[in-house]
Amino acid sequence: MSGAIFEGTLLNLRPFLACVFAGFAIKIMDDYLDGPLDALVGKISWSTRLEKGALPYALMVFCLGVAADDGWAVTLFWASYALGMRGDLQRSLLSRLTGWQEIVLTGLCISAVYGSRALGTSWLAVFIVQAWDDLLDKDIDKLTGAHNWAIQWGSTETAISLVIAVSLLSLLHPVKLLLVLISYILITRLMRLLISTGGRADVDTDIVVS
Amino acid sequence: MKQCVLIGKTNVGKTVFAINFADFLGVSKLAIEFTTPNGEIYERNLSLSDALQELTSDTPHHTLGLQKFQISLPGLKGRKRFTIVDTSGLTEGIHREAFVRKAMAQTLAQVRTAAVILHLIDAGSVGKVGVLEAVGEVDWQVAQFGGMRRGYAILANKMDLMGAKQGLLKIRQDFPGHLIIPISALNKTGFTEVKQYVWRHI
Ligand SMILES: Nc1nc2c(ncn2[C@@H]2O[C@H](COP(=O)(O)OP(=O)(O)O)[C@@H](O)[C@H]2O)c(=O)[nH]1
Ligand SMILES: [Mg+2]
Repeated sequence: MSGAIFEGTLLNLRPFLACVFAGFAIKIMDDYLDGPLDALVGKISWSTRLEKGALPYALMVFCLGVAADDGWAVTLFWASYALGMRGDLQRSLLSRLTGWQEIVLTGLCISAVYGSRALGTSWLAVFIVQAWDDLLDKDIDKLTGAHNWAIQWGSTETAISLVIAVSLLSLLHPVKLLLVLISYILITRLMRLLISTGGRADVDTDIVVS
Repeated sequence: MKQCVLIGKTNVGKTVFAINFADFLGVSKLAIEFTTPNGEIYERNLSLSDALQELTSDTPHHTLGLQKFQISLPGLKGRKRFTIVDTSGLTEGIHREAFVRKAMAQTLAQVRTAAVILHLIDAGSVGKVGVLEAVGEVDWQVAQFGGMRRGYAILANKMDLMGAKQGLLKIRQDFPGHLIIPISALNKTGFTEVKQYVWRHI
């Protein structure tokens, strides 16, 4: 009987773990891509230190997410891939497809397995996190030229979109909204902790703005 | 084709940067289009080492007119093409030679339409003699103009020299609110950051 209870709680924990692990994988990937310039303006990240190790690390962490709950992990990752493509929607990429075509094709495959509702709600969840991040990082992103909605659309417009997305998701899937927000906060806190305790001996501190 | 314009006083290392950055991005032969201050255009093919030898020097105004070449930038998702425009250096006041004056007018005209403006400052000499001596009125004007638009960054060059770190700190103090990337055009350091910056703006 206690086994069943344990299994029950674990079952409820699984989507949450999927959020945390997928979120970690996404964060490692993003930070790695934005690494060098961000480090220069003091927006330091733990994963910049991983350098080439970022790829296997991100993949492994993502596997843990899939093991916890594949539907959550896969749709969240797809959503961040799709939203991360925002500078390259019209451009022809390595695959010879444009950003749009890549997003639609991969989205169709994934929604065939997990359904369009899971895909849509994950997209909303990642949109919320991204918009929030963009509002916080507006000034730094302006300096380094990073893609940022608050710069592109304006802060008010981004904030309004954020509110709309939050309302929509709280209607469609309040649990996803809650779990994604909790894991987002958890991950950013944890990353900050890793930076302050991990040391950054390999980075020339003279070069980093304090 | 989007343009990345190099601007700054003479002898800060614009031409060395242009050639070595091309090398860093995997270009082995340069098809350089020269535009004289009078507007005549001709093209020459040069290897990187020949270009370094012929086009750079420590005498001012070695580059008169514009030197342009195309670069295909390899990135995470495909490639982007752009043109690097190496300009003649800016000097204080009005130069007595008409040819030099024309070259400067030409430089400023490029800046208006550029997608990326990289403003080079010699951090080595800033470290040695201070910002006021090493950086001229022109640099302030360029920074002020650049700060109002997208794609403007300062490259603190010659970081390999003694005192350049001191120079970098002073440049940071005196040009607040700008992105400042420390580089050594000679040793090709800091180029990853510059590449990422250029990529984001073209
Ligand atoms: N030590 C050092 N010297 C440099 C560097 N970049 C350029 N120089 C030297 O500075 C001088 C002027 O370079 P050049 O590219 O012709 O300057 P330009 O007038 O701005 O085009 C040359 O003697 C270069 O060798 C650097 O990063 N470090
Ligand atoms: Mg020159």
